[in-house]
Amino acid sequence: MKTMNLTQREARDGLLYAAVPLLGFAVFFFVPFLISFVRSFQTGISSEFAGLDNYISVFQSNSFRLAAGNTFRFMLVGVPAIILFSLAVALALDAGLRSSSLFRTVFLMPYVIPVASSVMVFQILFEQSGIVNTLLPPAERVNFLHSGSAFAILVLLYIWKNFGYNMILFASGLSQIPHEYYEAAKVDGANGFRIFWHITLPLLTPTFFFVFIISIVNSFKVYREAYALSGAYPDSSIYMLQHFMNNNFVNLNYQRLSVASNYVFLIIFLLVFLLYRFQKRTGDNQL
Amino acid sequence: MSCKIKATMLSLLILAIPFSGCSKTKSVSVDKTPTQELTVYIPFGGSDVQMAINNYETTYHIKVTTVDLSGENYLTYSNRVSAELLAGNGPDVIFPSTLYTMNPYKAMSNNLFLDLKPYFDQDTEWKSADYFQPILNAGFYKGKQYIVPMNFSLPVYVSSTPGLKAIGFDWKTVTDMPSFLRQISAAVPKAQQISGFSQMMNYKYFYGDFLMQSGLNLLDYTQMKACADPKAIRSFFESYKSYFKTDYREDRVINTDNMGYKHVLANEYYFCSFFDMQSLFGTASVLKTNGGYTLSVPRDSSGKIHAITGNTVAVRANSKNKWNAYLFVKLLLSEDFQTAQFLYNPVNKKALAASIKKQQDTYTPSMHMDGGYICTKLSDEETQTIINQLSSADNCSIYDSKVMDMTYESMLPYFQDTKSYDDCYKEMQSKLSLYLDE
Repeated sequence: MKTMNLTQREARDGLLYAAVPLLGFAVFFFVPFLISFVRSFQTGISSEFAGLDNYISVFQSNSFRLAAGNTFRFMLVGVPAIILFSLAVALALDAGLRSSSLFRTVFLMPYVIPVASSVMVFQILFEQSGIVNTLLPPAERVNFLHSGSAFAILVLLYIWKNFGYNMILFASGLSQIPHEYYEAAKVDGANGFRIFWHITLPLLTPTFFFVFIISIVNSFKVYREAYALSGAYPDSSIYMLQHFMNNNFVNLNYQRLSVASNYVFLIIFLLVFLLYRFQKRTGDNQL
Repeated sequence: MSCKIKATMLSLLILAIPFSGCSKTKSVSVDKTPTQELTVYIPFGGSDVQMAINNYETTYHIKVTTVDLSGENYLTYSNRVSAELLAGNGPDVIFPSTLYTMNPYKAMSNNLFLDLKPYFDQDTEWKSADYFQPILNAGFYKGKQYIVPMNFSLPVYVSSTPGLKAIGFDWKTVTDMPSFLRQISAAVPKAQQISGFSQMMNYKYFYGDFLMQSGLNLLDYTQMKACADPKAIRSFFESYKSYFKTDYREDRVINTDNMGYKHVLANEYYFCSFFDMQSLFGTASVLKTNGGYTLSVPRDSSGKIHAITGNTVAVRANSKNKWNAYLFVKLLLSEDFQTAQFLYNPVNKKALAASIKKQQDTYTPSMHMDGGYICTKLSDEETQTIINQLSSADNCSIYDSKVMDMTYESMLPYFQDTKSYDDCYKEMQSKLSLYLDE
């Protein structure tokens, strides 16, 4: 009987441990993804081959362009804003602010409360008969959620809901930086900005990277908030890719839905791939 | 760029070449492949479908596999069939009017259903002259008959002649839907002076019906354009606003009676519109005994009358039993089956005439009406007038509740004076454009 060496046994055990999650991933993600990929090249519910017609049609569609434009505009505005804001708060709390643990808990609250409740708060504030409008003269009252302001409100809601989590991540990253570095820098006469620039920032890179990825993923998930705020057909400024996909799902247009999700997959894949490469390069440089 | 990346990109490009611009277009043909199967799911309240299945099995000797959802929640059929269609299967025969979450036009544009036009065209037994063509046309999309309307509703408004006189309303002065809305709004103050008055229409939420009857083409699926006629749209919404302000209140009654004669005679409301001809005949017959009745159909600004489809039927695009499914659709459209229906007006002309004659003979003085009211039988001339009115649709469309909700939500602030018309219109146009383009 052939006996296995330690490496082989470890490999077998590892595979056994990973089998259940791998099976789950295959059944719930990989197989549906393959089906969706195949469907994106078919016409209707028949298995007629459509070539790239569906891709061209979706790409030429104004609604898809609007949704893609809004999603990326949201990412471009929301992600840097949330990173800067959560980093600033994390630095302030790390600098020894009084009652910092209380603030941490308070700031994390929006992240743990249900989306519907967060949205309700914003509706109470910004609806036609909301608090903000009651403070304005009648002639200047606007239905903020159904106007161009809806985009800014959604960014605000995204930051408000998610910055607490990012702040905790940054705080954890900051606590990993040895105090000796700061003390040595101070002894060398470095000012606050130089310490931040040359010590804090480089040593926070792995955390930055993680926060960046999480923020991008969360920015794609902001559809929940947009839907709860203004429904399936909101103001055109907050019509996101998920609106496009969800509405096509409701209308049983699996082809357009598959095409749009494949586009999103491709973009996120490229983005993460580039980020990993960037992180690898900066990591190599640091070494 | 590393060699690995270049190689990956090149492979992707090579893989993509066969896909580009070489879609296969099938020629229009009738699939008469003989099979011995047919699958039909019976939707909520679909007792008539069961009747059709029994007839079908007897006539064609084909076993129909049925899934009876008639006793379930009204959404069960919709949810189940939608999910199965997404997966590429489901029943051979589908009833799109019961797929509540789906826009029928989107379903047609998504090629979910089979084009039945070649089947009708090549069927020597099919006589298109026996059917109301404007009603059947509602199921056309880009020259293809994806959906077949089985019946329709047409807004014949029934009123008491003395009642209309008392509030100073005259149908002769009504030219189109906006003018109808303005005139009923103008009549409200007079009606309020008469005891018992509640509202003008027999239903609380008449917005969708008014909009459909106005003939406004809010979404042009052929030209892919939303709100093509802003002037006509403005005229409708301005006049609807006057109705909304004078006669609309959330707490107004909804007519739960099949027939409205009691309420009309008590001056609670003045205009009744019914889906079914039983209610139409019943009400007219009682009103005839009590001073007379008035029947009229509102038209659009070009004088056209717009109907709304009732129940519709379609065949799944990838059904393996296409011919059997077509035969089932044909049975649903047959004179015998259509005459037996009591809800909505049949799309079969002879069935409509036969059903109306049946109603004429039903509502006579011997009929025991609720509340002890006496019916007077409508004369042949009066019955013919009703047949003519119900046959007068120039156009017909499929009701899309999403479009109705979207327009109402957008325009509500205008009706309530909290937002300008232009702002609301812009919002509505933006939503409809998105909806159309998706």
